[in-house]
Amino acid sequence: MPPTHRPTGGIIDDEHHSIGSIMSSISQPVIDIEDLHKAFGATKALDGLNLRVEPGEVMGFLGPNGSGKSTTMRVLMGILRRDAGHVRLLGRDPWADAVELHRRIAYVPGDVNLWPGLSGGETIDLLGRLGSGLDQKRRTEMIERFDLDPTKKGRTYSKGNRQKVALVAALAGNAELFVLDEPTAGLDPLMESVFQDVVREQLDDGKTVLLSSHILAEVESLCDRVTIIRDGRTVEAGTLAELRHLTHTSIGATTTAPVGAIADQEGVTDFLAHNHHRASFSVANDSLGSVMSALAELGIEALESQPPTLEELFMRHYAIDSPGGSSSIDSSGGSSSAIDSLDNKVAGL
Amino acid sequence: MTSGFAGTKDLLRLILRLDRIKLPLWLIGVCFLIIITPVSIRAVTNTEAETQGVTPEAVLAQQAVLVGNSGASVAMQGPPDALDTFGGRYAFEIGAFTFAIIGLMNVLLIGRHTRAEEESGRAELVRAAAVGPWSSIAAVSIVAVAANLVIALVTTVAFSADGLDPGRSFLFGAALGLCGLVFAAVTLVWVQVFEYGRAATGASLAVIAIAFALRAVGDVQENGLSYFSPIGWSQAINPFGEPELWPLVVLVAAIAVSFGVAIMLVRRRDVGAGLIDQRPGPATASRSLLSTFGLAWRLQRTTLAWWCIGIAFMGATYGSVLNEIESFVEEMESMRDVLEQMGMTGDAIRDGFLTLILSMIALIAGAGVIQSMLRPRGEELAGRAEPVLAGHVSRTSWLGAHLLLSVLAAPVFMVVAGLSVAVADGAITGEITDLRGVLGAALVRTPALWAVAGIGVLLYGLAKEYTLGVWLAFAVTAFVFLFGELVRLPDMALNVSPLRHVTHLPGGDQGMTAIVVLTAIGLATFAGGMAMFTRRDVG
Repeated sequence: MPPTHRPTGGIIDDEHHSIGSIMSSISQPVIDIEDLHKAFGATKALDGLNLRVEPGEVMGFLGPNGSGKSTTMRVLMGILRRDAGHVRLLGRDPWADAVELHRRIAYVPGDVNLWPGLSGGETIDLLGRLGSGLDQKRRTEMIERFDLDPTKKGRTYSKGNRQKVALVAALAGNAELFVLDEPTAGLDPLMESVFQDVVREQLDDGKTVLLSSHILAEVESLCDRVTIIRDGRTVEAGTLAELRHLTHTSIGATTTAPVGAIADQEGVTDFLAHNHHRASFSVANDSLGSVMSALAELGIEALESQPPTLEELFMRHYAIDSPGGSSSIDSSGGSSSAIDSLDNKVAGL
Repeated sequence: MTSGFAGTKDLLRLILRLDRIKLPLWLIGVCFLIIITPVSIRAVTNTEAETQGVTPEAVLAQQAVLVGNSGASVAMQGPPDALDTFGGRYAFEIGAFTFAIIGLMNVLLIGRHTRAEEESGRAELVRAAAVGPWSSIAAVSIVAVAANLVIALVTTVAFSADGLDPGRSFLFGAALGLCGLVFAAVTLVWVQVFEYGRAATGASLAVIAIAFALRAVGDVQENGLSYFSPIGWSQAINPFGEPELWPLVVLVAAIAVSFGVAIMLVRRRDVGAGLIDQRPGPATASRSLLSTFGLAWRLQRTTLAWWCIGIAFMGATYGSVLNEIESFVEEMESMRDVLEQMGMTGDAIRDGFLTLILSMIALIAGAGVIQSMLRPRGEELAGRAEPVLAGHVSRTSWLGAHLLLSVLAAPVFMVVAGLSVAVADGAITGEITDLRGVLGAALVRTPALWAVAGIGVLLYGLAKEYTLGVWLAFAVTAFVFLFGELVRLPDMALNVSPLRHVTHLPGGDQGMTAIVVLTAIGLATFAGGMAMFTRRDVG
């Protein structure tokens, strides 16, 4: 789980109580998206997306392929123009104020394409200079830590090395917000860990990060909160602990009496009987107590319980038929009420 | 050996699928040029014969003297063989330029299905399948053979339908098709040598330019230079006079040798790599790169330099025969009398040719300006606009930097053209005459280039998908310039071509209005395109 020393909660509290003007200017969300819509011809890429990122946090931005993560980030970078919705980036309009905003933001696109004839070093200098600035000391440090040869031409870099060029250009600058679209795709595990270290250092300096990723270990180790989207809509947002709490626990049990009766208990799903006395199943967390009592009555001989892994958590949200749980994808009412309840929980922390 | 060609059939289908629009458009365009020539010349000659009360053949014979003795026409079109026959006249009017256009079609066809595919990494996907090392070359060659065969057959049918001997018609069709295949085969070699599609295509285009220039000088000076040019070989066949068959053998041999070299080179290199290695670059950027203009200049400078070299080459080629044109006419008593009756002196002939070649070079330079103007589209398609626009860089600054280069390229190209013509002429005559006049005449054609490129900017501002429509504007301009008079287009249609309004003579000052209007159109389209670009999605 992520370290807990970050001031996220405090800031939310400040806003919650809406005290003093100085504090409220600090607590203004870095990214504030409400009901964002964007269509490409007949295709609805974003269909009422919500996203809120507070200062100093790493927001994990998750969703299946094609769910609209990159589109959202490109709207934030003023590359795409929104059709409808409220979008504020550092308190300003990402389309109208793009040029000014970009001095304070570093962006790593999902597909890093380099100029074939420019060396990596030239590209870093160029993107740094045209972007959020370039600190020469940090540039040298980053090139060293990411183990990058800056003299190679763009066309000769491998996928991972192209990614490193974009990362060095972004991380060697003076940005206060990092918008990173699957930044570690193609990096080896060693570089992945370097990336995580560097992001943590940025956080210690009070920077904010919006990170889209499919690497769950990375999300788990870096992100304070996550937002999960599907089909251009937000289906879940909250801390990982909350998301876990809202879902299921996997149970494996061996009982003295035949275990079959448990299948009918409320909150039990995915019931699989290995034999008369042994079964595995998941239990909705709010039914955990009653299911445990029922198990106890059958005489527990052995019991293993596991919190849902991140994989299971995301599979639930990514899969087309999300079985029960907190979000029902196809009914927008259901999912938005789930968000509402989460928002209340976050605010109440 | 068969495994070396495994999967050729599937690749063939892939190429036909990918090229279902571009290649047919090219073929339609080329065939249109070939079909319209007999139709229009026949009609014009018949009308003339009726007014004069003589046979069409007599008219043809009259014109043969005039056309054949015009050095300018010979330099542009080819050797004046069998001009007193309809077939000979058609072949002459279709001319060396059409051979070059067919060459261009072949170079681009080969380029986009070989090196461009490797460059993008798509070829790697294909080669990972059960596909032989030579399959890609074989597949694209089959398409090239088919495309050139279409041209040959259409020519045969069009000329036969006009009443010409089918055998001779086919011989001319074969000349066109084989010449195209020579350029296709040469391109196959270059794409093995260069790692970069742009470089390979550029080298192949240079081969076409050199082939064209060799025969232009050779045909005017009759010094045998034409025998070093594939276009020269094809035109030496002379199908409507006394046909020669040796050029067919030379053409086929050239195709076979080039194809063989390409096949051999494929196995000597890695997929995606060229034979020319890439050197490492600097670890840090120089200050001059660190701006939108610096980047645009870095990305465009090589291409722009090559255009300058090509234009200088073309200017020097024509400049070196400028003097010849004059003496060509003066040597012929009868010709001079005819021209003097028409009020033309030797100087007027020289000026007329100069005007023609400057307009011709302006047309070619227009393609260069358009290519420069299309660079931002290429950057956007490759996903390289996004990281730059994610910096504190306005849309106007990014696009403006590229377009500034396109705007500046036009006068630079024309100055290079004027200089190269004047200097080459000076080198022959021992004296550079009226340099200012020539440069001025070259420069006034600049606004026409801006206006054509401006259409592209406007389309690009609208949506990147429409941008290539600018080539349609270019094709119309080229067609009107090259064939407008020949096919007797009405004035209104002729006036569509911006080049037509700035055909100034050295020292002439007519058409100030045209210059102002064309500049205004250029300005408005560039500004409008940029304004629209700031409002649309990128990527």
